[in-house]
Amino acid sequence: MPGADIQPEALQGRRVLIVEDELLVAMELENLLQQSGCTVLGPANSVARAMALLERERPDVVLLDLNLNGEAANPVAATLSRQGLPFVVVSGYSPAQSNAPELAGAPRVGKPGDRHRLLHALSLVVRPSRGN
Amino acid sequence: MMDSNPPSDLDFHSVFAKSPAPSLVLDRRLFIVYANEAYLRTTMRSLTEIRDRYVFDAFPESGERTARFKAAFEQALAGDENVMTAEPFAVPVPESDGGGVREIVWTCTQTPVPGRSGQVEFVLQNALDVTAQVRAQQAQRQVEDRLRRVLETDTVGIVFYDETGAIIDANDVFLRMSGYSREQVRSGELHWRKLTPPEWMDLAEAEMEKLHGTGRSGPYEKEMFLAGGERVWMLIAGRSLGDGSMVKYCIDIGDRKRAEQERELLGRELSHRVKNTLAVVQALASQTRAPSIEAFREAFIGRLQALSRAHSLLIDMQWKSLGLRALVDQAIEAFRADRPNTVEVDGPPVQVTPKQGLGLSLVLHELGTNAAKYGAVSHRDGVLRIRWRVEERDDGPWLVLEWLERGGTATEPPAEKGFGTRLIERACAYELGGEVDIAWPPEGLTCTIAFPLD
Repeated sequence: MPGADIQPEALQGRRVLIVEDELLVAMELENLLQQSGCTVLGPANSVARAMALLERERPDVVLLDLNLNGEAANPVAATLSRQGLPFVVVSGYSPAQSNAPELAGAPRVGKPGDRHRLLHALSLVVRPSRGN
Repeated sequence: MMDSNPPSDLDFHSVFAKSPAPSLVLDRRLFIVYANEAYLRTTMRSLTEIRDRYVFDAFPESGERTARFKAAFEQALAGDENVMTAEPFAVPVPESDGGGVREIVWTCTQTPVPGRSGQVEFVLQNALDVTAQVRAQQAQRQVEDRLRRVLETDTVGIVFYDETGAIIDANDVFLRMSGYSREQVRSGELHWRKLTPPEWMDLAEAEMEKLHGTGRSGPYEKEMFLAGGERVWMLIAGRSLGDGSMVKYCIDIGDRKRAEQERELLGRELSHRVKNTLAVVQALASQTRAPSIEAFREAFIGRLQALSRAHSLLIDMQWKSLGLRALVDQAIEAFRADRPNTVEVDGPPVQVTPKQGLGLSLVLHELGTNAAKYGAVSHRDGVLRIRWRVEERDDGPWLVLEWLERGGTATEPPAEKGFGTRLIERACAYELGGEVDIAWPPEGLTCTIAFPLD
């Protein structure tokens, strides 16, 4: 059962960067994360904006859409891997279509997303906060 | 020791007369002295008809042929036997046999024959009819010529391999396709392995084995290395030639392969877009709030329709740009017909990008719905003014659009920011890269949207 093992407390107070080009989807994710007690950074709708945000902010976890208005988000993934920031890939592409090495290891959530799966995936990758 | 003399009862005259080799004897003046039966049969003449006549009177020929035969006869008379191979010869057919001319081809040997004096007095012409052989050769040449044309068919490369798998010959088409030179082909340095990219080696091995085993292979598709190191897609079929050597036919299918790959890419892109669209629909559904199912349906479908109409406009414009006027018209279409005096629209022609157009269509829809439900359009005396202008700013031209409602019911800011307001704010920042200012003064809602035009 998806959702059965969600640990909402794992996400409580976490800073989540949303990288998503679709306005309505970004708003939905924002809603969902805020309801789960997260602080939302972004949303960023392009590689440039995501990179700019990452220079100023250090999120606990990132939700990454692979296609940003036709632009591949792989450079963002590479930066996140380099900085050791956990991320979850949200994509309409199948894994075979996006099997770049910088995406290896990151959990994937299909598009359109199931909110339980999404929260579950986030709670899996986010590191335990100092308080826990 | 054997007696070299013939038996006494052998008549040499009869031997010569009956010899199956057509033979003609001329004297030094080139007058016909004698012709044997085979000669007379071939030329359809009788001896009395031609005897004691100048040979070219008895057998008239063209000037050019006459000259050559004359030279040959004279050479023989000078003591040199000579041969004229495959010489065409026109035999006049007697009227009794239908008339006309029968073209035969023969190989004539002119032999000097000494008279009793021991000097060359005569020339013996032995004429061998080679018409059938020559005709057969011509037919063969025709077949070969036809085959050669087949081998040079413009699109089919043909490659011959020896039993070790080295290329030993190829047609011009293959050379053109592959960039290899005739010298490289002749040298035998081009082994099929050398032309096969590593990942195609297994398939190529299997097909070669099939060719050796069954005499045939293919048709199959694989990539091949060109002379320059690039690759080309080929459709290939092979046939063994019975002596260990092999032939392969190949057709360049690069264009078709590129089209296939493009189609595959398009299919993937389409599937991605469909999923994306479903995600947008899901997002709209999950964020649309309403007190009842009916109200939900109306609000949800209204938003979906706004997106759908903007997409239709985009398709009409081949996803290049959108006219602002058309977007505004769509947003107010629902109530403009009923309240023609309520709405004023004014602004210069402006084109926005597809992304901006989609964002703007959502914003205008939210504003329109709000105006129709609670704002100026819901009131008899209400007026809605939509005006826009282009402003030059430091970073280029910006569009400034004002949405002004007057004379409606008194408005007040919503107690809690609803989805509509959030959407307007977000769309302006996110999709338009601009800013928005919404105010709810008592006289009516004012919304100013400004964003850079690309």
